[in-house]
Amino acid sequence: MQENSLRPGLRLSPRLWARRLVWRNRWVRASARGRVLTAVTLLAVIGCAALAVSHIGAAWLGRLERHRLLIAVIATGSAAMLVARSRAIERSDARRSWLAALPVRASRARSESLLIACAPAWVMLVSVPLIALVAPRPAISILGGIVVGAVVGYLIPEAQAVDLPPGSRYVPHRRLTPKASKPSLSALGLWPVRRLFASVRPQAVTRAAIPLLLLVPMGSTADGVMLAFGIVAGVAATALLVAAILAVSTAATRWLLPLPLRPGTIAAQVLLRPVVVLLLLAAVMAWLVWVSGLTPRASVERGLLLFVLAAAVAVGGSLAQIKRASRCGS
Amino acid sequence: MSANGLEVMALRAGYGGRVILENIALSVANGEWCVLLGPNGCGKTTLLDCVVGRLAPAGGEIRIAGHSLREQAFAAKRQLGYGCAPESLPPLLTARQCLEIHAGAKRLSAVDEEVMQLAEELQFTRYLDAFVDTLSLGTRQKLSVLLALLGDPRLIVLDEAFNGLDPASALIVKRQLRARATGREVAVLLATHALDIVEQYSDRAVLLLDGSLRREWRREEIQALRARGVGFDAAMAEAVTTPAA
Repeated sequence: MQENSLRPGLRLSPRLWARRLVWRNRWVRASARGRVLTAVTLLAVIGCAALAVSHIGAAWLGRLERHRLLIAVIATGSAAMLVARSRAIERSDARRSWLAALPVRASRARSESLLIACAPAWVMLVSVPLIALVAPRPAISILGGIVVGAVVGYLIPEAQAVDLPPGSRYVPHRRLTPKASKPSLSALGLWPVRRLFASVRPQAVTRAAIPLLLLVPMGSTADGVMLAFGIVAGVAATALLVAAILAVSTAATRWLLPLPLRPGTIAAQVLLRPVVVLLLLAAVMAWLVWVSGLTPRASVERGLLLFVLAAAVAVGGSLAQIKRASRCGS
Repeated sequence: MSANGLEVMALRAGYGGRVILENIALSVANGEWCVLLGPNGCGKTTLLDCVVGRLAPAGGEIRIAGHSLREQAFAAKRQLGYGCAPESLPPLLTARQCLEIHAGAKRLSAVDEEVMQLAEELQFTRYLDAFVDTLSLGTRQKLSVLLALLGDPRLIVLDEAFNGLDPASALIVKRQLRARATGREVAVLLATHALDIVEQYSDRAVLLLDGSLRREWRREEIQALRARGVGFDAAMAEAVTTPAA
């Protein structure tokens, strides 16, 4: 029957067609406002890129004529990095995909994965004609760089897969001796702090530390780098804790909705301990700023500013999230 | 005589503009175990979400042990025990902390000894100080059931509470629910696809179909079906395929 006949594309290339259908369905399901917004954003981005290349970037691109090898290397490196990352994600997705068990020929699967993994290179290639309009020779270098980079990125061998353990592995936890349970809501305040620790996985910290460590051979002193590391870590911890407070506010309210608890009680319990931690973080930041050479007064002012900003976002956001989450149940 | 454990009157609910439940009337008497049946996507979880206050209905009235969920939410929820889906449990708290929070919210002076005893029977005690995100699906399900039983609620609401439970643990939980219904006049509302519960433990089964309650079976009817050698699955399949009057 005609209605049940398969689209030829699905038979030839199921993964690509499945992706196409997902995108199409997303577009079909979007509201009229959403579609207009997407179209306007897309047009604005293309327009801005065209304007930037033709006006602001013209002189700059012209100067690049003398550095064609350099820009080719940059294009190769960027394309290789993006494609390698995309390839790693594509490999991992393909293994867990609901289409993983389909009988697809190896050659077909390879060509599909090549098209999917090289998506960043396809996007980069869109910029080449724009650049070619004002500076044809650098555009050729960029084109060559992208192609070489895409091939290199695609051929980089797969890194050993790492299965991430549950987030609680990174949460400091006292070994508790068995004790009688005591009814209390205070553990709600531990939740955001634990979420902060859970989000600071060693891999993420290592990656964040690399740019700072690279400062040492570039002329920075070790104590300066350590100070910079401390300040970055303090700001990052503050930001992560604020994000954790907001996420936990919603999750805790949804979890506790069937219980006889007022939203204000949940807010107080979720916020109390984390706000104290925010204050401690601000104190550490003030100390670091003082060590970096500012006056004690200026250091305290900066620490207080950080605390007030973080606490305002955390408390305001948390109350808004709790109100929103409890509204569905009221 | 005290009010029914649950009274649902002319309930209307949905998401956005989409109506899922229309004109639902359901009551679960004290001491009655009512099983909510229905095909996937018929609105069982939506109905339970309305009953426990997780979803605000578009119309109608819900009363728990005589207290209106809309006007006396606090009093109504004090009489309620709800076993949430295992994935809704907080991943970074320990099982003991979850029990403490629920007990604290219900203003208990201690976590019920009886619940701790049940935890022992379910071999859950060893996981009390483990983080929830390290527990298996079945172990989380046990925690969810234990949380629902805290504070001796007058109405226990469970959604697919036997998913992932091993047969021995499932039997212990079924017997516990039956004992609470018979011995303490607790009303139990359970959404499930497990028909053995309908045949052996429950007092009543109701079928939810296309957003309305289509059919109900009392215990005597279920026993009569068994006596005639008709499986309840066949009776239910017939009810599902029969067009609405």
